Amino acid sequence: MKNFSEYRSWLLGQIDKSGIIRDRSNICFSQKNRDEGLVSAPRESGFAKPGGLPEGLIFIDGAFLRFQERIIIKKDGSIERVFYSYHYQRPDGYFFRYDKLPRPHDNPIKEPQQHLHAVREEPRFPTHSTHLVELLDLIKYNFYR
Amino acid sequence: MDTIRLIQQRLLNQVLHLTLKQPLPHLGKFASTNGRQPQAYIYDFDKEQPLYLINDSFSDTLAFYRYDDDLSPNGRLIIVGCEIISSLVLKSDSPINTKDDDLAEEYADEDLMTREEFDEALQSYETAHGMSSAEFYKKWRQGEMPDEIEFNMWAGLYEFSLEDGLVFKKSSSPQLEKSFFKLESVIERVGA
Repeated sequence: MKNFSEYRSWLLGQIDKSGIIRDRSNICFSQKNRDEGLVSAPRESGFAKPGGLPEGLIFIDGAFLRFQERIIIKKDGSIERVFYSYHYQRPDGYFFRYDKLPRPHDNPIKEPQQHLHAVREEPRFPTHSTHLVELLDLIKYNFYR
Repeated sequence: MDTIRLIQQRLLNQVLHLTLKQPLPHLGKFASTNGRQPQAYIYDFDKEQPLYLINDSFSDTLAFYRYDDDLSPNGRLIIVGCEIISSLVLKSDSPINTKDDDLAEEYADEDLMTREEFDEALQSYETAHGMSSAEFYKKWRQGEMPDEIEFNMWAGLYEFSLEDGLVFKKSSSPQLEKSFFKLESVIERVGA
């Protein structure tokens, strides 16, 4: 990956290629410089529209993935995700969320820097470092086969 | 085809974006036959034949992005920036030698926020929760806010706002003005 612009195009292409996203118009990009930026979906607060559900990427069955990630493209072309939150929620309320904190928490047992919420906000399960495309694959395999 | 009504053509740094207004599950694929002057088709994979050919006059404004992890022996490309549907794929009969610099750079400010949009986004959180971002951030750092995606995103946005030299899309860039064309005015039907 050469720069943040290329990452942007790559990410949109991967989202399109997944075949499970109905609407990605909420995604937005904020750029710090050539190599760094912030990706959010949606751009505004989830509570900005009274009564409305917080949404981001909308799936073909009405589920949504609200997310934000801070990206740095390193000199060797690798992608560093400084922090992220990927919150997938199904129409029936089932959700999971992968978070990476920008800084380690004082209590890494209670809140590992990279963790998973499943159905409830607690506990926070420690996880590997993940990313949006991996999660789209996971979601597609588990919910859209 | 009755289902194809309109595409949106947006000339952005000489990049053509095509947007169909409704999903076309069986019509979403393009095929390109020549790398230097790519000819793009809307291809009906049910009937295994091309349905529409993008006019040559437009072909050189198409932008391609190569997916290294998705290359077939003959080259397999996908148009990015298009909001058509997920199955929109370019296939080529021969590898397309697209210069690296011609790739994603062309889409640099697509979906990039303007300063106004960025400020509005931050303000939407402040309005929704009745506190300033600075006040919220202090509480968030002290662990006084719920661990929810809403607040994670607010914190991320606010931290980002504090950084210097952010790049924003110009709010009134003439390059982003939209033009609309009938699909039939841009493409011609080929095949049976």
